[in-house]
Amino acid sequence: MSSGFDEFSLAVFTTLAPAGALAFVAVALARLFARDHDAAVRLDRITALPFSVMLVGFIASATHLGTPANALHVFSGVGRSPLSNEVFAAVMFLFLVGSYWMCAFKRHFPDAVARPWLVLASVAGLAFVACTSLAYSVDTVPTWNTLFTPVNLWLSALLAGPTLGLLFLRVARVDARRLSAALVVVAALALVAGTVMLYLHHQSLGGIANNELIASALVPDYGSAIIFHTLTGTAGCLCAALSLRRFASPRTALALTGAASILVLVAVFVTRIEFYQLHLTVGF
Amino acid sequence: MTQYGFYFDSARCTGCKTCEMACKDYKDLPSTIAFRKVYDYEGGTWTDAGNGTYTSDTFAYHVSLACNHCAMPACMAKCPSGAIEKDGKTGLVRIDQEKCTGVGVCVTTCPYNVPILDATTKKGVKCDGCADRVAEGMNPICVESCPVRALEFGDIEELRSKHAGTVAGIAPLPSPDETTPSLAINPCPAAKEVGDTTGAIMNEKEVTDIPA
Repeated sequence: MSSGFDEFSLAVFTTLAPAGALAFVAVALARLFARDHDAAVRLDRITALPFSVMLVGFIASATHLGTPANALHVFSGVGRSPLSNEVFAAVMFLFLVGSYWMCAFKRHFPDAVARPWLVLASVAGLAFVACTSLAYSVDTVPTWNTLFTPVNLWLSALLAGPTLGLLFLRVARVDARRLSAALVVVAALALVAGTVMLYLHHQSLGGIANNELIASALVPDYGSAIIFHTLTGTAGCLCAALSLRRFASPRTALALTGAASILVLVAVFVTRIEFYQLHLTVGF
Repeated sequence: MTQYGFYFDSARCTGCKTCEMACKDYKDLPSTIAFRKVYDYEGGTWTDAGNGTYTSDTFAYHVSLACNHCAMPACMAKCPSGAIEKDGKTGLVRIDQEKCTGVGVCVTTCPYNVPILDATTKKGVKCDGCADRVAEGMNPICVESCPVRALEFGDIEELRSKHAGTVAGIAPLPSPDETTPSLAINPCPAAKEVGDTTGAIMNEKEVTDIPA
């Protein structure tokens, strides 16, 4: 029956924001191990991109607030309400990354300051993904209150985040071959694991019902959505892998990583829409 | 704290919906919002005995439901802005309109389909147990309006001891274990237990989204 959640804006949020957070971690890793000062500066500038991806997602989530004027009250629920924890973690991450990006413009910005800041912001990013994955553990909503919810969110983030990270490293013209290869491997593994988990999740829905509805009836297209997710995700991972080949010119590689990012984001978005359609309480 | 709640006699209710309309009138609600709803729960089949006779196990009954002012309200537990409060004296659950962000977590978590997002004010709204009337020693308006006196209001423990054999849920309501509703129902002979799958809500359009 009617839910207060706006499926579309929340699907945009849970596709973009966790991906942005993990893409930042990828950029931060490249920055932490960058030996070349110019490359480090370019990476500092590029942190604006994962920050923007996260911010767009965050703004999308705010569009389903009926009364944004009261939004600050959300912080009163930190520790008690999973949604408050999620919003708090998002704000902490945005603050740490945004302030890092601005401070990195200082002429003298020593590594002794930059490194702990990057580590802290990365931890905040991981904490944000964790809080988002737990935001749907609600006792009275049995279709969301399963282990599949956090696992699927993490695997989606691990598919889209590293792929976006790869794109941002390209944009920063940073040659981090081993890190780039590792990002593609992580994304591909997350796609395989994610597909298996989505399949198992689909199978489990027949066992969840309330007095009126069986959960699987809420998502008649889940099967085809999973197939679409797998195909689009595979195409994305292939583009990402091809961009690593030595003969690829920088422009081709940039185009490939851009295409890969769009493909994996679409793949994730489709499954997120299905997730929100699954809303069902123990009552009616 | 005294926990106030509703007693509902499903053996008396005729499904006339006077309670729902009295509430809408008193609370001046638009056509799209009802704080009390009457669910028509029906089911069963006809069986052909093969000799020209038929047997039937069909049934139909009504459940008049407003906010159950739960002992463990799922809406209150999950509200991110702390806008949902339980009164220290009466146990009535209300939404503070000054704190509500309209994010709809209460709508999503309540298993009784009680909180509604008001499309005009962009905030969550629901039955407050007519707290203003109760403070003046009166009954909620729905209780006063019922032509067959199927509704009562008061200390839920007193109501439970006054009426023997009440339960806190019948189909299509969820198991009371979920939120511990302050609700006492006298089940009519046709009433099915919580978790029943032989019937369904037959007036679904009327009780959800309420397009009027």
